[in-house]
Amino acid sequence: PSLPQADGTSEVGKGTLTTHVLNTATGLPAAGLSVRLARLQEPGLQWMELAHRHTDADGRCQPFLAQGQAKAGTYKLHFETAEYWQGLGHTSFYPFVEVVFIITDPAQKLHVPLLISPYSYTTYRGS
Amino acid sequence: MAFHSVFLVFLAGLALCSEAAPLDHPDAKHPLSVKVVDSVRGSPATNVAVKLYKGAADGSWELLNSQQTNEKGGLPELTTKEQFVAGLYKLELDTASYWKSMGLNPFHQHADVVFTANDAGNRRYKIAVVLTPFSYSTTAVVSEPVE
Repeated sequence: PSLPQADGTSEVGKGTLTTHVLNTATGLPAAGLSVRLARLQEPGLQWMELAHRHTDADGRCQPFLAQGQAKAGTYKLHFETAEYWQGLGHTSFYPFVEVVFIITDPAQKLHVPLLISPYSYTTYRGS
Repeated sequence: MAFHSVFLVFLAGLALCSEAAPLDHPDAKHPLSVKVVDSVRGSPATNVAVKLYKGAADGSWELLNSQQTNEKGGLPELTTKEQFVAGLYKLELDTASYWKSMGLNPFHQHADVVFTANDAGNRRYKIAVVLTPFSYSTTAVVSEPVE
């Protein structure tokens, strides 16, 4: 399980946003990878950083948005992939990966995984 | 006898096609080749608006070119050898408009591919992007430095 449930209530409530980063070259989770979440603010169309996490040994982090914190809008997850590959002694094609997506229903649990290899990546809306 | 004539006509047709067809692969004149695929329909993703940016020293993005993918999902002549110097680049594909034009509501605003190019001399780049309304995948095939 990705989150402890010490008091019997789930910490993964409604409207949370999670990710899972997998290293497809090794078939293992990508641990210690820096991930930032930002929301596009209007007016002015500026990105406002909301959270900064690092993936754990399972390639996951604590949810990016607390219950009730998600608003409909445009968000961006920034993954420091080159830094991750450098740490393993590899070069990679991309200095970072950014995934820009739309939240329409703030109550919906969103899972945005990222699969990475040095010369490719895949991202999708999971559940 | 009939087969022989048909075969000659076929060869002539091939010769004509190879002159006229837009280039699918990177070459010396156009070292960056992009292919966009719709993996729901199993077809090229046509008329996808794509912007190519170059990273400036101050961290901003300078727009180099703006093109729509052709009937093969390609972007011939997106950049030239002269323009495609060493540096940081961003391809921004307006995938949301592509899916919305089909009446679908996609998850991603756009698909960005950020990469550094020509670090150790001139290379050829083939970048493929495979799309669905809720996912995208990109892969790069990069040659050794040429010339």
